[in-house]
Amino acid sequence: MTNLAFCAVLHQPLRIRRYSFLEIGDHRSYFNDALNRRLFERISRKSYLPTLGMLKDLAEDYKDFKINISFTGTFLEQAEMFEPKVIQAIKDLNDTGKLEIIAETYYHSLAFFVSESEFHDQIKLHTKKVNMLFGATPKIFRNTESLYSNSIAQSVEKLGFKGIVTEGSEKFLGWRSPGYPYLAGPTNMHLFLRNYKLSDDVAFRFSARSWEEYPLTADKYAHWLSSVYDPFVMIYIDFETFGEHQWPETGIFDFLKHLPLFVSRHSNLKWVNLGELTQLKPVDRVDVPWFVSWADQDRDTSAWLGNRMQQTAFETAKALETPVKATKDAHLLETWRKLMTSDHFYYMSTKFAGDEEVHSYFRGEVYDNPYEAFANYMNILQDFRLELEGN
Amino acid sequence: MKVALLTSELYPVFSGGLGVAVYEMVRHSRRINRDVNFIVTLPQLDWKGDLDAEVLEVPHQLAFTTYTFTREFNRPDLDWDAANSIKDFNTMMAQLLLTKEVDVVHANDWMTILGGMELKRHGKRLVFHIHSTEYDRTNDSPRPWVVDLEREGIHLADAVVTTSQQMKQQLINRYGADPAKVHVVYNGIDVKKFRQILHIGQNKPGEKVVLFVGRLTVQKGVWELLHAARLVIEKDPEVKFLIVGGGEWVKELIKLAIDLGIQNHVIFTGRVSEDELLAAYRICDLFVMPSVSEPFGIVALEAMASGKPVLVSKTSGVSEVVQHCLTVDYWDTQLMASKILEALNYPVMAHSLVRNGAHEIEKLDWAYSARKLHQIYGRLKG
Repeated sequence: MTNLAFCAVLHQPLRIRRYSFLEIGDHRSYFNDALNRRLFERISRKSYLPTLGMLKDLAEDYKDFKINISFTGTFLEQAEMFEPKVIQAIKDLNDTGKLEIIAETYYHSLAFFVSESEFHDQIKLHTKKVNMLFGATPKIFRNTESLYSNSIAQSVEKLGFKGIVTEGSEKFLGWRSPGYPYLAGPTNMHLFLRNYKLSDDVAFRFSARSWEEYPLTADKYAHWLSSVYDPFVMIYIDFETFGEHQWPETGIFDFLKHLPLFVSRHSNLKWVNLGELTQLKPVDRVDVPWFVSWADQDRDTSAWLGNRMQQTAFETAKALETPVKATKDAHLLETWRKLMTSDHFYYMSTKFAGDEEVHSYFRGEVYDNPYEAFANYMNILQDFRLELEGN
Repeated sequence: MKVALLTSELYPVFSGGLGVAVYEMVRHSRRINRDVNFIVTLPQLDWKGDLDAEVLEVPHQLAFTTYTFTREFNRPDLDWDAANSIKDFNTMMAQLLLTKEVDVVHANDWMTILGGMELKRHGKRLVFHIHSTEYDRTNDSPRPWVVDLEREGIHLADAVVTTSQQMKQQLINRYGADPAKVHVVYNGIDVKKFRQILHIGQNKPGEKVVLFVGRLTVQKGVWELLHAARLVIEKDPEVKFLIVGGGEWVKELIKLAIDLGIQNHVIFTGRVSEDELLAAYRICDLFVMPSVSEPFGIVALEAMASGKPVLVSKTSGVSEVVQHCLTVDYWDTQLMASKILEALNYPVMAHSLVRNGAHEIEKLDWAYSARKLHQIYGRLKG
């Protein structure tokens, strides 16, 4: 029997506006509400609402179907502000009893690199928000963009989580399969590894005509899943795969709609919520002494901290933690945390070749190039620092 | 193969981008393929230089250069003189070349197209290379007869070459050029020549220099730059603007600097020698090319090769081939000022621009441009 854990993550960056060097000291607003609203409304229409609606129908039509979702606090706040129907749609899906919510950091941040207390605070904030909105308490944690290491696992275990998620990379797995339950480094938590090949087949290759498996049908994909023969297979993708990264014209909604039907034809496949997998007995301990993630070809921290501009911007912002917290001003703390969102650093990447395509796909909504992203961020940070000093 | 290359200017005798482009393309053509021979045909310039090609000076001194001509566009009497001078030059050039074995005629810009067309009528294959149009040179106030000349050349030529995709689009939209025969050949950069100066000297501490290089004409955007400069200097009085180049707008621009109250922060050098130009690149902290209209913009590549960060207007051809530069709309003087200050205040960014830019421009060798020209010649010769 292969347990099928189908997971998707919902996130929207909180984009900052063009803040001129000439405005440093003016303390104007930092966030581009108009752009954030426009993009959120568009993606809600194209992806969130139709997909959430379809998942609810599937959960009602197929008694075995189950789904796992994680979202950031940044996403939830924007949903509340710009498109509350999305919150309602998640509630409706949750009411079917087939949904498990996975924990994340509230601000989609690199908070682990700031301080453990900040990291813990952001996770607790997230749990509180999920509890308040959906009455659920997540048991499994996934760090921002699946950032992971032994040290992250140790820190997360202190908060009582039963399992943690990251990328199923050969770099630390070696010959081992991602489809087995492991213990996370030195902890007693389960470590669940993403099957990146089967995930990317849907998330990236689905509409690639040059791919030899094109077109990917639900029938074919269910066959692949049933031939895995591991205790489980975890698919983890961007939620926007449905309708935004892959447009409706690609047939992605037909694929999703028919997947449960074709999965049901394979008696060795069983949909699960991620938390159920903690019942499986771990077969080994997986040691990850360095940082991994699911981003870029490098699968490490280089998508956010790979060049000197990114490092400078991050270190400058990080250094404000103590002064910000010393003010005990809730608004300043919230602003600082929003400025620590990993997306700001992601836009500053100067990687070449394959990764640049993905970076510029997301950056293009906001900036012409990584230099503009850096300078604009630094202008805001300078203004913010002046505001702190005046406090 | 024998190519007659017709041009009104040729580096190093004082020239703009056209003269540099023609010079470098011939030089690199010869390096990559010695079977392509050139007769570079010029008006009488007393040209002295080093070029592996036959240089043929037509015994006719042009009454105007393409630049001084532009300034006088509201004086029909001068138009008449200029037109006659150009006509005479082209007629003599065509006659001279008819006595020679030539496979392809490569005319550069409107001032040599009459000769090119004449040779085409005698059975030669014609390439019309457009480095700028009459619209670009006159800030969209073209003389109709020059536009007509350009249009005729574009339609008659067997192949049209230009310096950027934006230019190609302009030729299609304004001149009705057949897209299939318009080829984009980007200009290049001789990295070695400029890189030599990288480690020679450093600036005075504290003082920051923003450099502009180009002719002082409307289309170069200096007016916009000075307005941005005022905002920059308000924020940081240590910044100096170095304006290198001469042109018909000098007086107006000096007056503008005074009106803006920034005269002590702006230095107009006038025209400079090549050594002085290299020195200007060396001492600057940021190079700015705010052109309203810029078919390519070789100076931006020169600044990058000199190890300097550059800010260019989005309307420049060079912004199509270079990613590691800052860009701005020429009319957005507020944003221009902001970007100048950012480049001067965030050294990490300036270093990243320079380091990544250095890799990038190595690929923009003139040899690559020359190779593309050879392909076009080859196809014409059949």
